[in-house]
Amino acid sequence: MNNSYTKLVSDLAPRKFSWKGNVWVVFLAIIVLVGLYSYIQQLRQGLVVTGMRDYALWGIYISNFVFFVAVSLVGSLITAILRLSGVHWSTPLTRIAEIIAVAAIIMAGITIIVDMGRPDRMLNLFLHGRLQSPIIWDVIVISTYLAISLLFLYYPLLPDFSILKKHFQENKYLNRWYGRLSLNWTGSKRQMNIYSRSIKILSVLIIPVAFAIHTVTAWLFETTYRPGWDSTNFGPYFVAGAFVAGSGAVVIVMYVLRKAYKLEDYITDHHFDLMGKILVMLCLLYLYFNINEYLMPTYKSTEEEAVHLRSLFTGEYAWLFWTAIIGGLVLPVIVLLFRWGRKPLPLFIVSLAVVLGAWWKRYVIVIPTLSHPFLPIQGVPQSWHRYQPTWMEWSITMATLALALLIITFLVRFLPIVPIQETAEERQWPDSIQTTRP
Amino acid sequence: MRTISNYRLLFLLGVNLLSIITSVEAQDKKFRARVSAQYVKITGKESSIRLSAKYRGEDGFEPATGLSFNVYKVISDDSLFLIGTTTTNDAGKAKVILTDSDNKYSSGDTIFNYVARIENNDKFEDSETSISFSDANLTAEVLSIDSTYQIKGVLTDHSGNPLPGQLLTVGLQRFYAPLHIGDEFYETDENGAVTVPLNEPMPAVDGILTFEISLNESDQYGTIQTLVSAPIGIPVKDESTFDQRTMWSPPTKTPYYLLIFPNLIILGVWVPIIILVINLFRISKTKINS
Repeated sequence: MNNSYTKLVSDLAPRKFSWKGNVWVVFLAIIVLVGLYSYIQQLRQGLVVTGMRDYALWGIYISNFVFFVAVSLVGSLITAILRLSGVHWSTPLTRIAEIIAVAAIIMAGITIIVDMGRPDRMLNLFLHGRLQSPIIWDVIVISTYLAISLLFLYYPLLPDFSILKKHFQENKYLNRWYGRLSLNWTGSKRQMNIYSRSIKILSVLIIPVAFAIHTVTAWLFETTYRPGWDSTNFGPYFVAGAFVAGSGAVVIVMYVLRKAYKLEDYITDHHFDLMGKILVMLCLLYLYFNINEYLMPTYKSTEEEAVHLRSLFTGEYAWLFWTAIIGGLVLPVIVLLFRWGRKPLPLFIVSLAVVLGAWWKRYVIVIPTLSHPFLPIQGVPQSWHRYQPTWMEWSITMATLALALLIITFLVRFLPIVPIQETAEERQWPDSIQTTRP
Repeated sequence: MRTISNYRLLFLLGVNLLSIITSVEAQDKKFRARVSAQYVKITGKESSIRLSAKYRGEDGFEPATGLSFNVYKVISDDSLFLIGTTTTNDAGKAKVILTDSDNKYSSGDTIFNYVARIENNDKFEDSETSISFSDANLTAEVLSIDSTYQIKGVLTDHSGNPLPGQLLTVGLQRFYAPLHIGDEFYETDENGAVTVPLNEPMPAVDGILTFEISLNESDQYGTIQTLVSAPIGIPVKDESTFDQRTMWSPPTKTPYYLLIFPNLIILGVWVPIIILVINLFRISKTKINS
């Protein structure tokens, strides 16, 4: 057997956490537990423990939900679109993108349940839900995208599970589980036919569903007649923003995993350079949509829109708005235009800024609009006009983010981060084929 | 050491006994319901006894929900005849419909007597509320006198004798609540009648106005209400979309296009997903050398 191939399998096979990994897991678990405590309090006392009132009936839960939906879109970008375009350089990044997509879409579903005042009545959503409501469209499309994302993660893993079964021959437990998960994969001609056809169907299927999930999420806002949401452009605007957030997330995770697992031979500087170029293109595209979204309403300046826009440009949300636009889009574009800016560390830092900016951008989309409705509500206390998340909301939101990272961490612990079989095939090592056949 | 252990055991037993007694007491403590009863007759529709119950809870007076009443008719010799059982709703209200036989006078009687009882309830103390009333009839008609429409109501007792000096209200039925017509009250004359002119033209679906004349919460006769309809309003077209399939309808009235196209899309996506799941089974069942 080729030594290079053996090294490849050994490099890419899942490994136990180092002490740093264990500390990371404990750290995330503590955040999740604090959030769980807060959520139990919320269940007991109701949504009164949040800062949401008659005006701001959506808060950071919903902006966090939109963020998760946005990040989940990355699975379709990196894997499906690049796969169908015949791009091969992205192979080492596909698994990372798929893992992020699965974790994000699971957490999007959980976050929406967290936002419910009476989650015990969730079944009523299905029993009495109206197909006229965009909320039902969102429920349908999220569950569909979750199913497709799971399949899209699982299918390409079949050959890898078979390889891992052999690799972990001495570990009975892992050998048995990888064997079961490989579904008797041998790489036979018939299996390869079914496999290739299924991957093609998935690649085609996931793109419209991924676009639909974020477009429908945009419609949740757009179908409500409010300043800032009254736009025909919201679908593509959200999709463009989602690609930015998702790509940034992939860069962050690939940087951390490359460092932690010493994968410099597989996730190279060239990958960072190309991801940097994709990110700058997506940031420019999103910037273009932002200009459309804010310039035209500013030009028309109808009374309610003007109040809303003033609060964003110079009012109480100005620092958040400009931080998200300049820190999360303009500066990243400037940095990424230079070759040095697309080196791993600068790109990692830029991506952190992009993802943080993307999170706050969702906050800026959701909250200020609710504070300035077309029809003001009469007879509510002045304090209800403003929204300030409570510490319980923050702790629950942080817990959902930590839980997403925990899902990614555990998937990374048991799945190969870089697809083994595809990498071997691309490097044209015939042993890889022998490995998957008896 | 032994003495200390015995004291500790005794102390624990005492605490347990105390907690058991307290919990038993807590279980035995029942609320006292405050009940009001009213006789309501809607001419040509139904006669009923309406009950309203509340109690002093932790947050002040709260409606007594799920509270069962046994309602009895008091027969002339003070014996009780059970006519029905009713339970309060979330607003603490309940009613018992009186049948024709319940509302028939026994020989010599001029007053009906009923008793509503709370009996053997887990949460509320046993108690009873009684109600007495005489039967009366209220008729209404819309008249046209000198090109002016007038609504006339006549209140009589069960023998048909007019009841003068009673205060009646006249209103026009509207979606949420009746619209008062004229003064707040009209007093019946020696013929037991009130006549109210309808000066303002009023719009209604197909021009049909429905008026209601009521004697409200009379000590002697309870509440009596009569409805009368007349095609004297300004006809307006019924623009309600209640029966149509619209974007704001309930799930049973979803527009057809919204049922067809999204479901076709859902099928178009979920059929391939099911095929992909089946493909996983096919991969697992594939023979090694095939």
